[in-house]
Amino acid sequence: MLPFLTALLAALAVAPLWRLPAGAGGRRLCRVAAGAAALAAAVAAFAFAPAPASPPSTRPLEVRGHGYVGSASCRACHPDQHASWQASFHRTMTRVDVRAALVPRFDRLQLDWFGAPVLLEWRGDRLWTRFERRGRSPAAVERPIEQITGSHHLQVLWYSTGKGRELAPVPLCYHLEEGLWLPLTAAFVLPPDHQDPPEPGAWSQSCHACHATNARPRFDADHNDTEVSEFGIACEACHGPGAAHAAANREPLARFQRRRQGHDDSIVDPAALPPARSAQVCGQCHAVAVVRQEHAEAWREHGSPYRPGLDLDASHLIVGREQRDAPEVRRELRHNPEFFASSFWSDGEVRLSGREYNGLRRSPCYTHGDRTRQLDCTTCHRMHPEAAADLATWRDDQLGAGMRGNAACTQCHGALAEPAALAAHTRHAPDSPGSLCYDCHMPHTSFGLMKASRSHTITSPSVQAELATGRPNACNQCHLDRSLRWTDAALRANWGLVPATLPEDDADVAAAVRWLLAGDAGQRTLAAWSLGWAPARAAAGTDWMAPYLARLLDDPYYAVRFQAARSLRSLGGAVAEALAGYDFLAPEAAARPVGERVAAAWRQHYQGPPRPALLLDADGLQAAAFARQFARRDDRRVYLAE
Amino acid sequence: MNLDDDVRRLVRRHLRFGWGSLFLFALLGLGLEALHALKADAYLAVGNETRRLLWRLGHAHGAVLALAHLGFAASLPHAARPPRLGSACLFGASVALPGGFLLGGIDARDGDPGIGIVLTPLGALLLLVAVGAVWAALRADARQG
Repeated sequence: MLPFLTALLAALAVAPLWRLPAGAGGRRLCRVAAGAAALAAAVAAFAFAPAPASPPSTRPLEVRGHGYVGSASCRACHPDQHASWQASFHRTMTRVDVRAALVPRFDRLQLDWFGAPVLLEWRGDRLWTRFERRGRSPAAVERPIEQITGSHHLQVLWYSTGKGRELAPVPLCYHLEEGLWLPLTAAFVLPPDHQDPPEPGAWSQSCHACHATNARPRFDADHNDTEVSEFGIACEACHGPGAAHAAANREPLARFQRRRQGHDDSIVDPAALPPARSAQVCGQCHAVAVVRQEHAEAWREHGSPYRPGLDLDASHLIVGREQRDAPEVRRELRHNPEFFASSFWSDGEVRLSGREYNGLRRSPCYTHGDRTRQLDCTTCHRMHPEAAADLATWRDDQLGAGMRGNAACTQCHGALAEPAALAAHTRHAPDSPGSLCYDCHMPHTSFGLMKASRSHTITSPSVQAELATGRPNACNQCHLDRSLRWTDAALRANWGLVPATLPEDDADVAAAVRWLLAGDAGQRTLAAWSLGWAPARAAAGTDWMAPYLARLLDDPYYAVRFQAARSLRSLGGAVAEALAGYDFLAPEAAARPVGERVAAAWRQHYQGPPRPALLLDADGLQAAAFARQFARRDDRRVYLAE
Repeated sequence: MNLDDDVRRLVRRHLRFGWGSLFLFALLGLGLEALHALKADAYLAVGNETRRLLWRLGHAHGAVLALAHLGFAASLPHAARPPRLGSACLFGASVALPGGFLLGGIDARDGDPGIGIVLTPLGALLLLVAVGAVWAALRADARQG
């Protein structure tokens, strides 16, 4: 139709030239030129008319409907909110425009996956991958990449398996900050024999829920027809389906009437919900949660029954250790026997980052029952920042203005806004990290995506809790060089805490030494990260760190090695130079000499005084005490994945 | 038919076309405003930015070309000879330029205009010839004194 119309208009446009009277200058030339131009336009209209776009058949399909209209419709009325969402990492949780989304630029790339080659290659506009799946069927993969998940820390590439819309991850992912490709399983704290990436279909089975808006799994053993309302976490993930709201506001008079009233009931505003309901909006993704048994069957066809504003507890079981016997948890444990160990410390506090809602629900600021000052996510976080905010800073953790400091807490604890009162409470200088509320009450005790995150269970430092659970206490996360006995004495003297029953054999060993040498893989990873944390370095010094980090360079867990190398590198000087050429994925036998080289470089320069808590003599390490701690290493298998 | 009759006929044609098309493009402007008022996704959604741009260009070019016809009619008495080529090209440009933008906007996709956009360069060429022809005719009139 359009090519015909185009040709018709071209003819109409040149018709006046055709009808020029005899005698008009250059009539013949005009006719020829006009005819040729019209013909060219008509030919072009037919020759280059685009074929109708057909929906992709080899990846999850983006389909509106079910009350969802898509974020593109929201901008007409909400341009500022749309712009800040555009800048957020929520938007780019899943992208199908692979060329634009993929950060590393290359034409052809051969990567190494534990000794096996993985090829990535651009063929025209499509990225292809080719590799062998060891011991799996089909063994050889040569497929196009269909989408990318992640844009903040890691980028994971997904290829179509050819079975309907089923996707599988390429076994390597791209670490954005380090600018390196690494095996997907090495990006998480996983046992070293855990090398295979998730099985095909993983995106439809679980990833879709928090990487797309209103996803509908629609898969079984034989087919896969996954649909989403929108890729990425878009407006309607938090505000609910928007079709009714958009329809209600199309009529200008109704729109102005609502504006005059100051509220609009046709859409959910999470910031205006009661705190518990508001937090659930974030909790639909930021929680260890499973769909309740009665919704499990419908979930397969229709996806999550939760909608913003509803009660998340009605559709999902927010998992804590106390729910171990719930049928939903037993179902989960059948698929993943490490479900609890991989998500919680032994007292039920979340150990995995990105699950802050579980932490919030255990916080006294949330559980005190006074709705007028109940903590929810929007107390500190803003999904749409203040007008003056720098989007590049805001998008990292989406905190509101001033919320990186104590203003977050002094909203309620107003008395502590006064420096003298703050110093009296913290026993630290008011402008020091020791007087930052977060550092003592929200320490970095969860881990994921190759970095530590703050606990969202707001607690006070406790030696007893560490002894019971192994979770690092906040004091020693800064005072890495101090022992539990020192911390216990400080908590007693300054805050009147009941003394803990300390184990006699290593109560005087620095906390960091115990975590680094004797901890489980999760503790070692956290500790290696803490040794690179600026406030801890300021409090504990850095001259003792190298031999401990060096010992972790051949750790069985790649995540531990990665963090150790990162902290070592940031120490600079001779130890960083000795690290040159280190590959954290190398076999233990190849990694160990690098650790020895780093330790030797440190020994040459170390001139510190004897420091018993750090197992240091004037000559260097107390080898026997060091070996004794190392021999205690907790080798239980740890799974801290997504 | 003498030259004055010829000029008067040409003036009347351009006046009719100019006011007529100005009415049409003003009507189109009202239509576009209505799309804003009704928050029409087809016009305002993020994916339809190219369509919005093209239709606004079509509206603007159509309205300005309508005014150009009125200017042309007002200029004719001052030309040494009626610029028939300029007249024909101006009519052609008034169809091809806004028509190209409007048709191109209908099936704009992925940031690119639809195939109707091929009319736009044709219209631009015709407009250039029209303006040049009028300018030449007025220069000739000035030389003749």
